[in-house]
Amino acid sequence: MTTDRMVHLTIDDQEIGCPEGWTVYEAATAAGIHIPTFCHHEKLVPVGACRMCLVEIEGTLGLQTSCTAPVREGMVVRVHTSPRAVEARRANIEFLLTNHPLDCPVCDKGGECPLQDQALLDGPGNSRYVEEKRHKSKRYPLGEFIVLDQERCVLCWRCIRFLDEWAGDHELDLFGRGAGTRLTTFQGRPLTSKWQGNTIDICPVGALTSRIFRFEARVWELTNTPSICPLCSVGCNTFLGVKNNEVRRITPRENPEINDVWVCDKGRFAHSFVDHPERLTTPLVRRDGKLEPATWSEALDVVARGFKAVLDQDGSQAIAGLGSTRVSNEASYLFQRFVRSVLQTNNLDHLERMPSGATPLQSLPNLEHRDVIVLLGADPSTEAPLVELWIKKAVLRHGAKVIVINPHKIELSRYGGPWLGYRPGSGLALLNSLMRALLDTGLRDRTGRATNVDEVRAWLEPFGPDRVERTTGVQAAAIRQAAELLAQAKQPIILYGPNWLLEGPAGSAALLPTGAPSEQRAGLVRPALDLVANLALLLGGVEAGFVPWDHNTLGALEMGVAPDLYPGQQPVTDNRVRSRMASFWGSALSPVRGLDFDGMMVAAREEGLKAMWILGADPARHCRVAGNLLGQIPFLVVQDLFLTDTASLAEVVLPATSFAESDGSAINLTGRLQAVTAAKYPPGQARADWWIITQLARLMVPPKQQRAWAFSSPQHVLDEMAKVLPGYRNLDRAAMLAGGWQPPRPQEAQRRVFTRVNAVTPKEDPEYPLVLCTGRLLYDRGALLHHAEPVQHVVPEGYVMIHPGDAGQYGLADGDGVSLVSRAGRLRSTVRVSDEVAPGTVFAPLNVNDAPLSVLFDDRWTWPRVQVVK
Amino acid sequence: MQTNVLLRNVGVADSYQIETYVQQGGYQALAKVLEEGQPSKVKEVVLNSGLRGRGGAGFPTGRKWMFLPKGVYPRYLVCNADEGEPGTFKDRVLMEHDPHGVIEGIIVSSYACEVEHAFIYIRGEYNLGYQRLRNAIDQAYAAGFLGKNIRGSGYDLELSLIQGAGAYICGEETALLSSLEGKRGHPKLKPPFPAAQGLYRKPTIINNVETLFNVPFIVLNGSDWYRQWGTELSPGIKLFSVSGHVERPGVYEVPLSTPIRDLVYDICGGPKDGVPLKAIIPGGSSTRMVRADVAMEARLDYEALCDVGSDLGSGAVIVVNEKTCLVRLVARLAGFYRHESCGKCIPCREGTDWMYKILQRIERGEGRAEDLPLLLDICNNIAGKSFCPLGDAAVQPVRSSIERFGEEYEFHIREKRCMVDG
Repeated sequence: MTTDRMVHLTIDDQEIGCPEGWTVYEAATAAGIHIPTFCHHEKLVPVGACRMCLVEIEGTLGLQTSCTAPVREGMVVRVHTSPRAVEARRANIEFLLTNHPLDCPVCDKGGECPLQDQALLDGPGNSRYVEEKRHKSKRYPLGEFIVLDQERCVLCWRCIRFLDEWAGDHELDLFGRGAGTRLTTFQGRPLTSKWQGNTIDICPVGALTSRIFRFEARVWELTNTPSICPLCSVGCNTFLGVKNNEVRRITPRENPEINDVWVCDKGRFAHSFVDHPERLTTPLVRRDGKLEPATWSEALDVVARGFKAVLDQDGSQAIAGLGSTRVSNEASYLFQRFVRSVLQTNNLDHLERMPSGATPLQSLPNLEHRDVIVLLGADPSTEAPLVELWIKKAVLRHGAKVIVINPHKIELSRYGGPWLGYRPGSGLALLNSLMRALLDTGLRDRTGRATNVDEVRAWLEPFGPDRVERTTGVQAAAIRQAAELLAQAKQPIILYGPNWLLEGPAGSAALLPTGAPSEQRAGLVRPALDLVANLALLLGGVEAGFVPWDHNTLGALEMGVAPDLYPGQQPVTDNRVRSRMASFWGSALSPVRGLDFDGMMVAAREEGLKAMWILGADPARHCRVAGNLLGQIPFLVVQDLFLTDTASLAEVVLPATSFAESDGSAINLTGRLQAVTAAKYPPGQARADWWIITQLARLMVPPKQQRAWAFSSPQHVLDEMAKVLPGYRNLDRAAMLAGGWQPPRPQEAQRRVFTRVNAVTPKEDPEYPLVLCTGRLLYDRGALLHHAEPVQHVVPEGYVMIHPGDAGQYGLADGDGVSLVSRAGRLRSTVRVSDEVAPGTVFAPLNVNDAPLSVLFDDRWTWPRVQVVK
Repeated sequence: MQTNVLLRNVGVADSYQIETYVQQGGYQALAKVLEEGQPSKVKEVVLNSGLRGRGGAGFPTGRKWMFLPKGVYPRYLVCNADEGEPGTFKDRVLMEHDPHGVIEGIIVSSYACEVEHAFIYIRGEYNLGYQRLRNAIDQAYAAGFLGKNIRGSGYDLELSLIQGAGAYICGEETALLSSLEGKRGHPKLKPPFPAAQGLYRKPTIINNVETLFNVPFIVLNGSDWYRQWGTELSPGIKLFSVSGHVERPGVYEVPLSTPIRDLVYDICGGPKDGVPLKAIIPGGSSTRMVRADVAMEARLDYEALCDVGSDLGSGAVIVVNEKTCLVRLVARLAGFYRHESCGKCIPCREGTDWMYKILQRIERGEGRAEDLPLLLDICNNIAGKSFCPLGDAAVQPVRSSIERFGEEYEFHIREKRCMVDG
């Protein structure tokens, strides 16, 4: 609506200019003239219901609601200078208070309540109301997270409208009529939206309060520290509200580039892991086979001596470091610097590593303006919820279509876009087929920039939609429908997730044997990336963005926690780069590529790996192969928040700080560098990662290198990062603190050539007829969430989802207790029969079973084939 | 002084069957407009007739039709048959006794407005009316007056009959549209007005049953014929629903500007049992009550009733005699508005509840001297501030009774009993 044309008007004798299309309320607010509202919220469509914002507009009969009145040239508006309008607002407050319980002393909203503020500002001092107040339900749990007080509710329907307009979750509504109107859910069903916590923020009274924060503190007792949510790759901006050194609540902090003013319920309610009693509070050292508490100097001494001994006896190739996608950039940077310059090895990696060929998403708000969104092995609703919210904005406000290419249906399938539910392992064939169908639509000259379109036509010849139907399990009509949508699209975008990358190894040539050189294994994801690039090129060079799972996935890669890459993704084999790094770090560096994680595990099996330092990762739980091998490493050091499966295997366990307890930075999925600020003291003797690494380095390096490790704060580490990382020279710290700083994006040459990708039909295995695919749930029993008690109530029991056709064939019914059996292992689970999974495929969510799904995996690059037995 | 145009079929045997209707000269207007084939001519004659909306607001029908944006299709026409204004029962008579007249009005008006899908939204409690309309619509389809290519003219019209679920607010046009769309019956923001963006966000004409019922007669006989009755600003004939203390309550058809005295004394047989009259509510409960002696000097048209401080409204004349306690009557009406307030806006939702509670208290004999100024204050704080006209309507009986019959309230509060109970 807003245009560039300016309109001039007078509000309370003040001359104001504002763009055409604004409302009087917006114009007044921008000019600093306060107009109270209850129903209106700047992020919601105005409804003009509460009548709180009535103003006088010259030339119109009666008072007007400023939230709905558009500005006009020459308009004269009176807000506080109109006795009629002032009186109307005073009367409205009086009306509201007649039946309001006035229980502010025990109301969580007290102190930040618009009704309270407005009553103080404009309301009558005394009540003229002598009748009995209306009685409604006062402690009504709407679901696991919110309790409703219907007596406090002023029926502004902000909550209803937020869930309708933004979340697309029509779960709340008004029931009854007039004075008897009540807010509730249909038939009292529990509220399930993952966005419900936001209704607490926008509720203008204390009707909706958090069941987690309820009665924990008065809001003025909280110290609110700006922070970043660590639970997914979006990095929503938040405030941590701390009282008595405990995080009591998390609220969103506005950032139009990332989370607007919202945050998902996981980010809001799952903070209790920070103050969990099982947090590690002291270093642990193994004595007589048992991990015993130790002082920092004892523990660091044991580590330093342990590493030195291995270096002396077995050399630097016998040591490795495993970093994490969850720790800060400062921790990652110092960690790889330590491993490279002190331990003298490039044996460095982290799990869930983003392949360096994957490109980050450019911008979250831009998603709103996409007309067709392709989700390729990505489920934003569970993996990166804010991405879902922006996609829903595109769908709900602009009618965008969502094409879901995934073995199982996801929440965003609900908007009726085509679902291409392929059998895991056949993804490459499917995408080739989609491209073939796209070429068949004609595509209106989109492919102009590509140089080898004719070759592509020939390559794709065998991939006609009808011909891949059997191998992929996707109906030709669905492929053609998706192609048709894409051919018509003006602003399409492709989002792909980690699950898509696994289609590379699955669908390409025969799998490499275990023990093959590691770079070959990591290179297996290449075909999956090439196909994404092909599709993007075919659509005219559109954006394709990777949506990772973890908080600092981009940071771990960018900081160089990788066997072949220095910070800034510079190759370790480049002599010039290496000598530059060596001069920064004051130490000679190894010119040899290191082992990646698979290589480390091979080395462990062959007893070539003598020591390993694991920082913030739990491979023993997430990788069966690793679980068995880590125990064989003689000197294992683990640094984490909790005594994880991996930590229990260690010789030394070092207690680290959580995101709430140390300053640092992280890079979100769009490449934005954001500051995390310490909001409380760590529990016991837990220490920040940068401190631990620095202390250890000082113990190990010779005197002349001590100065190279003279960091006294994470800010000093960032100073060095700004010098070392290409593009970070102009790092703007103020911007980083305020809303994030976007480093310059490397200018990548536009691809003009299609890469041929052959897709091999996965081999059938009659004994194990089904393919297992896994995925994330929003709430699970993962490392941190497991220690967040309030959200554990909404984690489902482990289940395996199977198509009705397959269920019939194997005689399975909903709720049956079964075993999932693969060649590698077996796992108990419960059957869920649903047509939301492709035939021939079973879906089991990660991190909900007691035993990890990884027991079924042969290696971490392939979906296992399974049978389901009763 | 009564006319027999609109009610001509009432009392005729099987008046609701299509054969009877056709026999009585029905569907002639439709034949005429289809033959002429000029929708704009129909619009013009309705505009010239000065016909005003019979639902209560009295907006000129022809002008409303002119608000339709040019070239935007589809358009819808909605016949507002959610007759809920207390004291009003004229549309019910038309729908029960002359459903084909209603349908012909809809078809002719739809033709004029280039509408191809029309709706009747009928009050949920009107079961007989619903049955008769259902039957009549089926007959009209069978006879080719509805559906594709009506009477070979090439004009198509679908007519859907939808029942309300018992909410007074759904008589308000935008709430009606919400309900028709399957949503909660809440009034919507204006602008956009329904003529610009109404049902399913398409241009929509909403007219009252009686309004549409007038159209075929105007089309057949011309605007001058229609203007032989009434005044310049209130032309034509009107149905009045007379209730309360008269000898013969009922629905009567008289020219506009007929003196109230004629309607009450001559047509309705005067006060029941000869008990002197105290007050008249001339246009349904949402219009201000007037002292009977003042009312008897007034005429039944928009201007004259305005002059005595009331309105023509929906033409529901409620006659109140001296044996009636006005406090109880107003408390009852306040209860109605409290019950029917949709709850969307604060002034109406809270104000109607508060007024009702105060009036109940006064009625119980627990009134306080400060209650009367408080009631008037609440009235002021609702009037003009609510989202839709329901709030304004709720104020009318309370404010007009306190202003014009204050002594009854004062007696109640002072004596803690009713003035008329003796």
